[in-house]
Amino acid sequence: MKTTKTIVALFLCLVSHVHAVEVTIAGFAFAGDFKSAAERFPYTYKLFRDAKGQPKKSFSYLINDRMKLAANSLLEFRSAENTVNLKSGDQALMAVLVLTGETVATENFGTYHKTFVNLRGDALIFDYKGQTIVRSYPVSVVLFDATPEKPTEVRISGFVEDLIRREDGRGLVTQFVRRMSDATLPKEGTKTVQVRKGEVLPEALALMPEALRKNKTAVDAMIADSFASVLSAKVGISMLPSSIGHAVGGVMSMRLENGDDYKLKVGEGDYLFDVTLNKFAKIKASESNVGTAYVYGAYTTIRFYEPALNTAYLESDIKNGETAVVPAGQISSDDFAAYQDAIRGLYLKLSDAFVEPGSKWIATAASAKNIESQLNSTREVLRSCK
Amino acid sequence: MKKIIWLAAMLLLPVLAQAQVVPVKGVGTVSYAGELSPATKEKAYQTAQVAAVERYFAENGEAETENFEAIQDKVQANLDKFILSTTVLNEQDQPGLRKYSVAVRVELNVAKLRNTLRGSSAAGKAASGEKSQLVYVFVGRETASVRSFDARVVKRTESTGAATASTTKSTKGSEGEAITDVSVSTTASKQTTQNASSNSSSKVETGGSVTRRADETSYRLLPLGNAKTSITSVFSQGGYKVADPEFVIGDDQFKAVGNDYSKGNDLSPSTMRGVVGSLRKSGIPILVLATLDVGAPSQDDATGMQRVAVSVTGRVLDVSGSLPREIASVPTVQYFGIGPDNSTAMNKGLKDASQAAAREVVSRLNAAGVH
Repeated sequence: MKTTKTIVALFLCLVSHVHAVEVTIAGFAFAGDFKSAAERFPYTYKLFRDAKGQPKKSFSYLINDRMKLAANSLLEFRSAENTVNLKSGDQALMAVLVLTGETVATENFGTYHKTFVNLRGDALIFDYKGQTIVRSYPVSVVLFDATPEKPTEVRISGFVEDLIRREDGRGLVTQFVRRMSDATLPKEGTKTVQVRKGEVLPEALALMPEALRKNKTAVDAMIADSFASVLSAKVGISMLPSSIGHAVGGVMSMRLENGDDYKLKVGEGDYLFDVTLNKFAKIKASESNVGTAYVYGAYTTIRFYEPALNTAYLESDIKNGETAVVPAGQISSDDFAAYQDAIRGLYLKLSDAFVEPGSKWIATAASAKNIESQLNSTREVLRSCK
Repeated sequence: MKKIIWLAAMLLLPVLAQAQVVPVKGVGTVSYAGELSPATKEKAYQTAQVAAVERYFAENGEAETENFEAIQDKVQANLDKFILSTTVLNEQDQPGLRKYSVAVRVELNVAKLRNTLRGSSAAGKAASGEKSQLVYVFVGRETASVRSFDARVVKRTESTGAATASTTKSTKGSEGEAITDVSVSTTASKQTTQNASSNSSSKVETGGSVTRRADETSYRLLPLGNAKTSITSVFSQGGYKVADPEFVIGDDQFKAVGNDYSKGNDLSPSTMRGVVGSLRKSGIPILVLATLDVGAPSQDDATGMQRVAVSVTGRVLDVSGSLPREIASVPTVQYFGIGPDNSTAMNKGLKDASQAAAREVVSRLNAAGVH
């Protein structure tokens, strides 16, 4: 009897081991056209190039090193130094942090210069054999800085490097490791979600820094990617890479640090989000000797739907306001940082409303009268996508 | 002990049973009378599944769709064998219109579908002894030199001229003398008339011709050793018996084929006669000819890697009759190979293009009922 139990235990061990699927850590990659990577990711590319001769400084080394801390009972992460086993199973899974966007804007506000840095990416698990995306978790990090002098290129480069390497939750690699720690593989019948469209309307674009106004595509991608990043983290779902900018024509191309190139098939999601940023508004809330409090508002239209039968589960204008105090005596203020907070706040609160019913915020933030029933339908669909 | 083995087998089964699958979406809409019943829902569900399979074939081209039509009934009757899983994405009931729609995403067992397709193709149905042997000659080549000619210009000018001139001059004079008693007087007068006229005309005619000559392109032949196994595999899986061309076509004919394709796009009549003769001697009825033209490498905008275009053109000849006849053809299709360097990109492009050409030939032969 004892022998029988031992054999059963042995088999169960074997089976559980078989089910911890091997995932090779492929490291860091730039999305899209590598030829133009230096133009699209000027600061990250320079850091990437400088680290090339020093293997222990490379982003891929950093990712492999930090991934030693990732504990995931379903996935067994292996360093890229090991050969990928292409023979076992139908899939050969690889994990990679793909940088999809870098936005840096510096603006002069009379007495000081404000710098905004945003890095966006996807924590991807893809199948090397099928060249398909298995799981994708968007990641996005932001930094604001104010200096009396115009920041030098070296200083901005330092910000970008800090955003990538920092060990707290605001670091890009940290976010990648966290997503990988919680990553699951899709079960049979798991449905997929994708942000299909992100659009900034002219009224909102006009209030953005000049450097951003010139590149509408990047701003559109920023709006979509940051929404996907927040939604994925809060709701705990995989999101297919958005089709804006870096997954053109159903193909997402990327180049790994070791020079390997991949073209991954990105199908259309089962359910899609369209996010439109309509406008910003700044309203004076109160004034005192200390300063003036303003409410910075972001106005969006969000649609969540199933494209095959064109059924909309959520379709509403949604707004969010965040208060910021401008100290008395300050001649000019950087509104964009406050607007950015308003957008992020909207995404966070909306994602919370997707998870937990009974959000008081959504009742006043949404224009749709039946928003609660819309949220219920959305919640149900998103639950089926986990 | 048996129970334990069963338990182990059951637990390991999901791991072993993984299969390569392709996800496709499909929509099914059904009209109903009266109330929406489970039977109506089931019908819409099945319609959506079939629509998904149909969509998969439609995305793979004309010949594939035609082949699918041959097995559509079989697929419809055994949906569960071809569809590994079905996920219902959305349902919509429109009671006003009495229509019920359902959207599904299915995971297709493509291997099984292809096997069924092969089984119902003419080649698949034929008994082993009846299956046709074929020989394929795939030639990969790249432009070695292009000789361009300046336009030959001939200009011709014809001019004719005519001039006439005439001059007439006449002088008349008269003198007179009158003598009287007291005087003598003389008179004299002279009249000169001069006329001159001239007339000239000239005519110039210009013309000529410009003769342009097409570029003389010579090709360098490329080895297709890497692609050979995969091409043979495509034909074999398609139900054809592939004979190695090296054992059917003589060395001289191979040289002649290479020579012809290094100068142009067609085999010369004498080479063709020689190759057909060799096939007939060996009792092989089908000849597949394909050229794979490799273009100049350029950088791929999407990845920054080297990209090489490969254009494939193919034709299939039935040489079993007294006169060879073309039974299928693959119009020029372009494929792209991408790789970190020119050589890798070219090899990948050649391999992908040759496989695609072989698949297209098999599809077209199936559609034409050739086995």
